[in-house]
Amino acid sequence: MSNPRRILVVEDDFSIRETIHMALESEGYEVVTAVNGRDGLDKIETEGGFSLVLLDLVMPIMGGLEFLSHLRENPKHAELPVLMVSATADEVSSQRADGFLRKPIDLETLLKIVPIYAREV
Amino acid sequence: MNHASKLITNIEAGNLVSRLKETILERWESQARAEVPAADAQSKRALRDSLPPFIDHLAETLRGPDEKVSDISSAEIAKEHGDDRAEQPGYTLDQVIHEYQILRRVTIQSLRAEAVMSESTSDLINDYIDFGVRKASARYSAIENDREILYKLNQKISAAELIFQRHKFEAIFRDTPAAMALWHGQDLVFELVNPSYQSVFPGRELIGRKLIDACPEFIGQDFPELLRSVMNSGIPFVGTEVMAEIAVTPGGPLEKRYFDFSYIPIPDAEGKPYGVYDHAFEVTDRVRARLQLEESQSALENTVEDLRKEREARERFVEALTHDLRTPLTAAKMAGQLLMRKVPDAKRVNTLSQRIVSNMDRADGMIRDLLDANRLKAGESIPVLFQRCDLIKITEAAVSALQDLHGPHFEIHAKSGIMEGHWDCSLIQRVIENLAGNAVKYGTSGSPVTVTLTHQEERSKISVHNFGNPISESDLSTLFTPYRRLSFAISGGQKGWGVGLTLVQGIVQAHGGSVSVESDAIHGTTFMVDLPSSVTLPHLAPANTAEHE
Repeated sequence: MSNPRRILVVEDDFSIRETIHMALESEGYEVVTAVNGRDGLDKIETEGGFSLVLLDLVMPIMGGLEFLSHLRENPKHAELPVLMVSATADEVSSQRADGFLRKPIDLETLLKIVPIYAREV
Repeated sequence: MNHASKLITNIEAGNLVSRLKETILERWESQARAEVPAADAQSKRALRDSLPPFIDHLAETLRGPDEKVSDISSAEIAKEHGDDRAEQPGYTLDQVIHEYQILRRVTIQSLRAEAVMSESTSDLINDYIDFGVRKASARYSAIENDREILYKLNQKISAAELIFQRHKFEAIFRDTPAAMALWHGQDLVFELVNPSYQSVFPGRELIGRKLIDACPEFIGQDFPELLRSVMNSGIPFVGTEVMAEIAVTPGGPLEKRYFDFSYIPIPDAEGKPYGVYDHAFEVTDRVRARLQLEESQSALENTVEDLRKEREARERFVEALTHDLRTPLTAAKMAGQLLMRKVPDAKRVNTLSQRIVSNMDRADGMIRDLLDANRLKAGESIPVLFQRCDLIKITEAAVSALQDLHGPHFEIHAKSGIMEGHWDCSLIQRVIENLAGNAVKYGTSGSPVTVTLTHQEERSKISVHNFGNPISESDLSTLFTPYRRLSFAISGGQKGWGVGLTLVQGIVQAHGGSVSVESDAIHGTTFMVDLPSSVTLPHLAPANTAEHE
């Protein structure tokens, strides 16, 4: 891609985080990872310029829902698209995100959905 | 006086009596009031009573043809006077007679002041008054006599009535199902007890004995003080389902009995405290039945509550299990799909293949841990296959597997070159994987997890340390309980279903070792496993050394 988009992957599990990282990178995305919600918010503030956030729901320190609340309260990042990825997320929690992917994630589905949700920066 | 020397006839005497009637009455009244104690309390009319007609009739008698007293009407007047005097309070027979003597004296003196009377006239007047005295006193006596008889009769009737009442009372007292007792005096001496009361203390002598002598088990119970308080205050006391501890045999074991009762104060004739009456019903069966019912209800409610909690725990467990199993499945599936999607370089093939295998092992480990934890929960031990193991190699294998899953957070410090022992190598590896896996999950993100190995005097120690929030006191007490996730783990959104530490403890104990934990905010959390290097445990029968995988 000539204009690679930056994706933030917020996921506490190393295997999943690194596999998504590898998959998106191989598709030409620039990938930044965070190990929990707090880490994710810090990366958004310090690095910025993200097109999309892939967000796990259950994480230590700060979970996905708390991350979303903080994100939506901040006018600077309120419009940043978020795709929630979890084995336990239900309709209620997914409503606060822009989209929802259930684990185990199908890689083909993930790679098709990401460009749809990722915004121009 | 002009007529003093003149001797008068009876007729003239009679006329003189009529003329002097008021003088006689006045003198009589004045002297009677002075000399007769009961007279002074009477009104003029009551005092004179039948005297005016009596004097009139004396005059008639003097004027009459017969020179003796025999007229029925005078007797009637005198009787009437006797009746009247008997009715008046305070009159005795002597006083009635004395009144007539005054009449006699006043009449004779009044007549003699006016005239001279013959002997026969005086006699007739004396006879007349004597006649009156006799009739009046006879009548008075008769009435008094009747009165005495009546009094005695009344006394007899009262006594009979009393006996009848007493019989009625005794019948009620004896035959009532209520337990009744009467105590008297500050020492509470048993005065009466009925059979129902006695049946509470079978074979025990009560009557005439002090309460605390007859029933020493009441020393230290409230009843003696309560009885005295009721007796002295005069205020009754009503007790409902009050428990008394009673020895069925004196000095024997105390039994809890329950009574509904009333203590009623009994004053003496002057209204001073005399004793207390007790009217009681034993309700022990009713109270016990109710208590039993309440206990059963409470037990049932507890069971329902336990079942509800168990169901909730099971639901949480299944949810956590499902979630956690999906994590390695997701990682493995995506790694496989990534391998298929592009023709990757050799390094990437190796990384992704290794990731698939690690995550399959991880899912398998979860299932294996779950089965073993269930076994421990059911009170069974984990089968152990003893073999010669190198603790450093085991630890490296465990850390390598964890690094594939969690990244490079782990450090191994071995304080001795060779650390060998007789253990089940794969089980000890699972212990390290569990403890180090927890340390990376619950420790501060990005901080290292340190596994330290030491060997001293035939014992090997494995310490797993992480920095981060300490484990609370309440969590420490249930740390190794199956399916009991730490509040920290739950509130922190961490995954897991609470079987790891149960399993760690089960495995370590099966090796004859122990596991302990230290946790505080400054030093972080350290789990310490202490293992004998060479296990020669008596419980290691061949059945326990079976292959477990």
